[in-house]
Amino acid sequence: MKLIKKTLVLATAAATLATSHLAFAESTTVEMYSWRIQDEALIDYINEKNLIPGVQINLNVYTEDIESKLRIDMQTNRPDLYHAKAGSAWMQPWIDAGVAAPVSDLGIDMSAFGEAALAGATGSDGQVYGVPFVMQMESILYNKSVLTTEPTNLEELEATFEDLKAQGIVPLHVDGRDGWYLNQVLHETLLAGLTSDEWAQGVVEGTACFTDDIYVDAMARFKSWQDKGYLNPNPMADDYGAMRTGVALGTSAMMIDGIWSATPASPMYQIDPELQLGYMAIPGSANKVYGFTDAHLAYNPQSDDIEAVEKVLEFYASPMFAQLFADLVEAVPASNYPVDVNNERVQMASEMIANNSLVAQPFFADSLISVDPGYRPLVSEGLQELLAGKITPRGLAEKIQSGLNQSDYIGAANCAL
Amino acid sequence: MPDDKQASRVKLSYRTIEKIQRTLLLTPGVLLYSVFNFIPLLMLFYLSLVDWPGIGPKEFVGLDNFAKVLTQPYYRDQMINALLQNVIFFTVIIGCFLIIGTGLALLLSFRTYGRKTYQVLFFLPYPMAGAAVAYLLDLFVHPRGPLNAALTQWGLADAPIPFLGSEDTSLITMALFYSWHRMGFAIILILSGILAVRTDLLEASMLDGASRWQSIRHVVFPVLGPAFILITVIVLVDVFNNADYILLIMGPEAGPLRSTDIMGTFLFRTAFGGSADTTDTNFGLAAAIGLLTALMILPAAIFLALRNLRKT
Repeated sequence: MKLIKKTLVLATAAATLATSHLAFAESTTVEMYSWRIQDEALIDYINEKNLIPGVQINLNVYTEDIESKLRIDMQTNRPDLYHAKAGSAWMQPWIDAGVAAPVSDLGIDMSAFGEAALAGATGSDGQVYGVPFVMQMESILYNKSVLTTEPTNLEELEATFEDLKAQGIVPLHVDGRDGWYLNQVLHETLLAGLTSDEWAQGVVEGTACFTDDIYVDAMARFKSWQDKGYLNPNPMADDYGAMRTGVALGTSAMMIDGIWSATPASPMYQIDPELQLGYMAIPGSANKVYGFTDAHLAYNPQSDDIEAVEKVLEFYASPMFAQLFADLVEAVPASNYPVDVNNERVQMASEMIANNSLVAQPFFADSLISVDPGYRPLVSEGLQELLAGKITPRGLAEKIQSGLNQSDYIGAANCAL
Repeated sequence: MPDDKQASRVKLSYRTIEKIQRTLLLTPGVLLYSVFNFIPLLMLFYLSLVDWPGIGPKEFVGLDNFAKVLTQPYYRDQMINALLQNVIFFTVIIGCFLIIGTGLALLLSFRTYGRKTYQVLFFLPYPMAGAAVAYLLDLFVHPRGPLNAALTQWGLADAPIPFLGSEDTSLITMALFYSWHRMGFAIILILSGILAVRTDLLEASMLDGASRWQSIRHVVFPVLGPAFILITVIVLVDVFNNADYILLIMGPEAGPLRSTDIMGTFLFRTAFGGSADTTDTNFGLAAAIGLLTALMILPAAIFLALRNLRKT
């Protein structure tokens, strides 16, 4: 009996070893890092259906401070692939460290990507360092159960604000605490709605200035909303979560935010699963939304499994990925492949990004962010001061301009104060 | 052979053996201190001499990082602001610990009803995770939180107070969060000091006609000096080097308008970037800030420690 048992154990062990050996021989697992928790279901699906032959992706999600995680793990040559944030300034340290390389080195076909999509993945040397895969849109997001009719111009918007205020509803909820929200979301959406393509392109090239009337007037209009009581009473006391909670509960009608808040993974639907969100540009002189490439898939050229890495990059650049991304993540893919979209929100966002988004993107422009102090901290600090009543809209404009002028900003001479 | 052994034993004098024993006893501590403290300190000095974003090649810049922090207005102003606010932060915390902590410890030292329950209650927040405490207290003082609801309900405030949304209140609120969380630690230290007071001294003072307050003032308080100094040194080093609550609640930008910026948040923001910009990072500059902070608090810490040693 003992002998039979021993034989059975050995046979099972041998079989397990054989099977596991077979599994290792069949597929390679690559490590991928991301902050995008909403992509987990997509990666699981890709793995489950074996859509990348011979490659399994192990997605590691770090929602907070992924840069630190990458800095540490890259010392031991992990991960093989990582979701990278848009803009050359974000990519530069990884390029300098030799853990990012142009996708052209692997011969990835990028013909399906337009100039706007590639801009976010392009380094300061003009090379493309990743496969862009998601476009984002920033605009006014509103709770449809509170706001039923979209205003079409600023006068109508302000009349709507007044009505909502009279009903005891916060018309526009603002997160005044988070620097990233103030400069990347609020400020850029205000630019898209209230300035113009020409002016935004001008500040990127150094031919227009923040002290121009068009910018000062835009900020003055926003500030007047706070002065008239259309914003939440203490924007500086509210963080991003509080802002989204207010809109989800319906105690606030609108917020300026990215469309990522309307994807199924958004915590707003945990507050109200029946929540219906609408999207519109700030109906000012430009009346545009802010569309941009949010992330691209970059790779570690020192990866031990570079062939598997290449396969994953190729898959990310394929029409199948674009379709799956739209279906499973319910977000706008970055490639130009025709995608059959059934989701109304994705459809609307892709149309708005394609047809009505601000052409220039100061937030990602090298000329504005590669100087020290740069556009991003200057804007977030300045907007906080504006919301706190410490400076006027013109003061905000001068703070940004003088900060940029102190460094090597391309338009310093043109915009001398 | 036994004679040889005896001879070798005789060679070692008592003093030599004592030296060997002392060396052996000290060695593990010295080794651990060297590996985990001294060598990292030397590495920190090296790091302060380079420009390094945390990955990739390090560029040697000499003392440029120190010069940048001390002379370039953008960084110098931030450091002065952070330092002054750190002093306020420390003062509020140590004030709470020494005044409220001593009061509560004295109450616990009396044989009052439910003393054990109070001891547990006061100590309860201390083992809680900082992140949990930060999250709970953030909700507690939020304009729509229970504190503001109570204040407006009782007519103590016309409108919700933005405790963490105003430059005037945010730093003090954060200091009170810290004090609430770690008050149990201060109470235990002070209480152990009180319980160490010799009962015969207290009895003698009472026999001499001293009131309870007089006994506390003239017999208990003088004995509490070392406990007060210990708490002061621990809190001093902690609040000038760490900024966990502020980082968790206000983020590296230490808003509103940098009104909660202390040396820890300034250092973190320099090393890892703020939420407004994650790309502008320099570990070398952060190391220089860390060394400057150490130099600033070292004299006070050494003075207090030496004073404590003299007293004991």
